[in-house]
Amino acid sequence: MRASSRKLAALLATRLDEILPPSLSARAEGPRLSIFAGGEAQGGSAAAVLVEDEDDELDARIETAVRAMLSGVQDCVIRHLGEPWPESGRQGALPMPGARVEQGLVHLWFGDEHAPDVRLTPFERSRLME
Amino acid sequence: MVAGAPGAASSTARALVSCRAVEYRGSAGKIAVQTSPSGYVAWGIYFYDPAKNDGPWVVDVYVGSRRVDHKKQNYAPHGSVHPNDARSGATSRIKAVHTDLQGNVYHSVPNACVIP
Repeated sequence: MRASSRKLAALLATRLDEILPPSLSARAEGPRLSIFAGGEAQGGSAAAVLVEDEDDELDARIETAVRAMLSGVQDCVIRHLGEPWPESGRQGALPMPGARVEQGLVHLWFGDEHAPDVRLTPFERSRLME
Repeated sequence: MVAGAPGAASSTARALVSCRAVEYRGSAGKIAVQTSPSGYVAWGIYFYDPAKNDGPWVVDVYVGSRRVDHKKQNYAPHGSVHPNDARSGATSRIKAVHTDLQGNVYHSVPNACVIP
């Protein structure tokens, strides 16, 4: 059993679609997570491959990969919108991406872990395995 | 960034400086690294001639031997390493390859710094 970068990209694409601005959509293209505006690729993240590195325990790799992917998407959306994203309850603050694997669930958010500005739907770690 | 054939540049550090705020300058561009008070290690790669930024980039970011980010994109890369991945005392380094629209290949200048 090993974690799949393709499955991770697909899972994050569906979750990001729930929170992206209406003009944008997310799509997995193999291990790549791409952001589209009107059918045109805007960028995204290739960091899902980090879950397949074998230099650390799986949960740590998942957390690192998810944070890097959310960060890449955040950068892409900000470039597209020309303004901070997602919105923060704290003026002038950019909510930073976070991820934690706990009891078999992968939690992901933007902002403070305990009071996030945006929380994405968690998924079961087992869904990454192949 | 330096121009050259594949493998012309390595990621070996000249000297281990702090990642608090450091720049590595090459013949064509530079890598900038800085660490925020909250522990995020932010980095960016910048050509002196911005026209050279267009074209494919492949970037890997390491903390110690562990890869913490991977980027494949067609615009100038930058990013930040989360404090959970940027452990204090570890060495951070960036390995990048870029091909501009004229087909010139650039490799990252040697770089490595110690996360404060």
